[in-house]
Amino acid sequence: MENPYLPKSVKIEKIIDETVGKDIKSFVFSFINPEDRKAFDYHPGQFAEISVAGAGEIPIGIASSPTEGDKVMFTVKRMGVVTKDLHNSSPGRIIGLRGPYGNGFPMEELRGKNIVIVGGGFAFTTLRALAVYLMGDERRKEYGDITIVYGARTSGDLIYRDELQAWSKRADLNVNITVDKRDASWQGREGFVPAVVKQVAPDATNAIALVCGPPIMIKFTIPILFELGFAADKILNSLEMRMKCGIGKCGRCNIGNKYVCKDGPVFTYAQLQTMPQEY
Amino acid sequence: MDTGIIKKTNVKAVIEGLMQMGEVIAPIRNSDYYAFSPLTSAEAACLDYTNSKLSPKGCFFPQAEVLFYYEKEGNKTQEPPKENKPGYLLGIRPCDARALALLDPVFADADEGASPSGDRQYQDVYYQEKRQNRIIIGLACTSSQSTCFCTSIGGSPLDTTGMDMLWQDLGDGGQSFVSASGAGGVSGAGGAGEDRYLVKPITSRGEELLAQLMAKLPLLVEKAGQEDLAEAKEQEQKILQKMPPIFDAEAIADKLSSSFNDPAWQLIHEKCLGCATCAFVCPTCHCFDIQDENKCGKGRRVRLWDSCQLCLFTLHTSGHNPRPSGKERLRQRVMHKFNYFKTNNGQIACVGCGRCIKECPVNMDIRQIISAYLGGDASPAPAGVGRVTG
Repeated sequence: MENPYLPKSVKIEKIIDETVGKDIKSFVFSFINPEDRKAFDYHPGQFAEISVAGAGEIPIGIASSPTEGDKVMFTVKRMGVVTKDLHNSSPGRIIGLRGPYGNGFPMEELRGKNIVIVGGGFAFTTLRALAVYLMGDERRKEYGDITIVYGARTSGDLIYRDELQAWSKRADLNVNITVDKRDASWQGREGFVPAVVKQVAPDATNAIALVCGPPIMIKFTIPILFELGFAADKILNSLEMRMKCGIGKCGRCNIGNKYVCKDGPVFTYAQLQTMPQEY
Repeated sequence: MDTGIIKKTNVKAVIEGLMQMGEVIAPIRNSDYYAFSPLTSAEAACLDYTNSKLSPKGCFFPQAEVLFYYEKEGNKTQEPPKENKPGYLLGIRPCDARALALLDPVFADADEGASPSGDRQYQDVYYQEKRQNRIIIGLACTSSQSTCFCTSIGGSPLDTTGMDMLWQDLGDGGQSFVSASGAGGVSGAGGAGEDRYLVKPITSRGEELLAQLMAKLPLLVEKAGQEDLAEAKEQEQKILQKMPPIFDAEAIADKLSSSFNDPAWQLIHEKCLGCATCAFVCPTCHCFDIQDENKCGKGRRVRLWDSCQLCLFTLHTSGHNPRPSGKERLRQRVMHKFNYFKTNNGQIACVGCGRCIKECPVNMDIRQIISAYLGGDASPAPAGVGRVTG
């Protein structure tokens, strides 16, 4: 019987400062044991428990796409005990990782569809994984139009900034980056994410919208998607909850009878409408 | 399937026989309460107890359990040594045995394929190993406490769910075998009417154990006769008559389905202190926390009982709390037991042991909450329950 609580060893290969405030960093891990990487068979939208012995564990969405090779990436905001310890790391440090957990995005269902990706702040991590996956050379033709709307408070808070700028030059993607408040270092779009979604007005025909961001952004984006003709079961959200085990046992991430760790974190808006408003 | 008989005067010797075969965990007296504990002597076992203060779930899911030891550098981990020796949990009451059967799907993740990610199974090795290694010997109830309500919730004082073997007291019930043998009064007579236990195997593991005991202790564990079985049947009827259901909990899950936004939760929770005593004494509550304990670059990752009644339980690091007040937390506990758990596992996660009622510092009574949702005509306070107040 395999012990699901034992973290596998991973080495921090690279640490990338994502924001001007240096409070969000991306960590690129490589597995020490190749067998562990093989067992870490993930797809976009899933998460894993990062274990820093002595500090604890945190559930974090996987920011890399499985198509990017053997290394896995997580983008982590400095918040509590574990994230602080992680932020103080240097490359070469060996820590623990267990997963992948959760349902992730419904990759089969997305095939052949027009995809609308709406992200806010640093909740763009698993959406980045999805975008990278979708725009892979061989896979891009399996999907219709891909529209990305991504926003942050200021330009300094935009994560994956260089990558997003590179994407916006591609002809087969419709990338819209916005900030709440323009400043000297940002000449691009200004405006809140919901307003930008309205302006961009992606066609709802044969389309699926994936929305991740702060609750306030989600609250105002959903009605706009409805206006554009998206049905509730064609809008997907990824939820966050306090978690410990990540495998449906410790009992703290439930919303009604659904466990965010096991049944989620990705739910359709239609599902959320039937669940208690307790998240 | 054979049924056995053990005279109370022989019980001490039978327990000693069990102790030779493996570790025996049984209720022992601890000043003014009973607790499940590994026996060091057969005399310590108390089989005339009503129920233990803490449920025996801790034998499988301890209050604090080391998941592994670690060194801070390099993610070096070491699991604690495994205890693969056979053991016996003796004298567990039917409600608590039923609770183990309810915990099994939680820690074994039996609902393979039910969740979208159901292709992966997560076996809780810590629980599973202890569960597989221990034979459950239940003890039927011959009397009830004022807080007991197992018959209202699908259980019974003679329920065998979750047991490998059931012992039923065919004697005067109230007298411990220890004091009986100590007084030396009951020995000798033989036959029906004597103070004795009917020993009924429930599972194949129970059958094996009975066969083992009959072979090992032929003079002490005898085969039950027709009159023993008849007496057991008669006794069962008497006990069930003493404990009529106060409500029918079958309907509660449906009734609660539409109650999430009911303003009544505001009133129900008001006297609750949020101390979580109910969850810690509950045989089916299974939520846990995981913490790291450090000392000089080394440490251990420990899992600890936790409860949805505590304010930190769902608090995000950002400060957001999906269950910010007692109202949401008490509602979660009731809804989880009587609605969510049933949806996920087919059964209500309450066995009617009454510990939460007995130990609550402000006399919250789960029976009143259920009765209220069932429509109110069932009395939440059966006759003689003085401490249950509105």
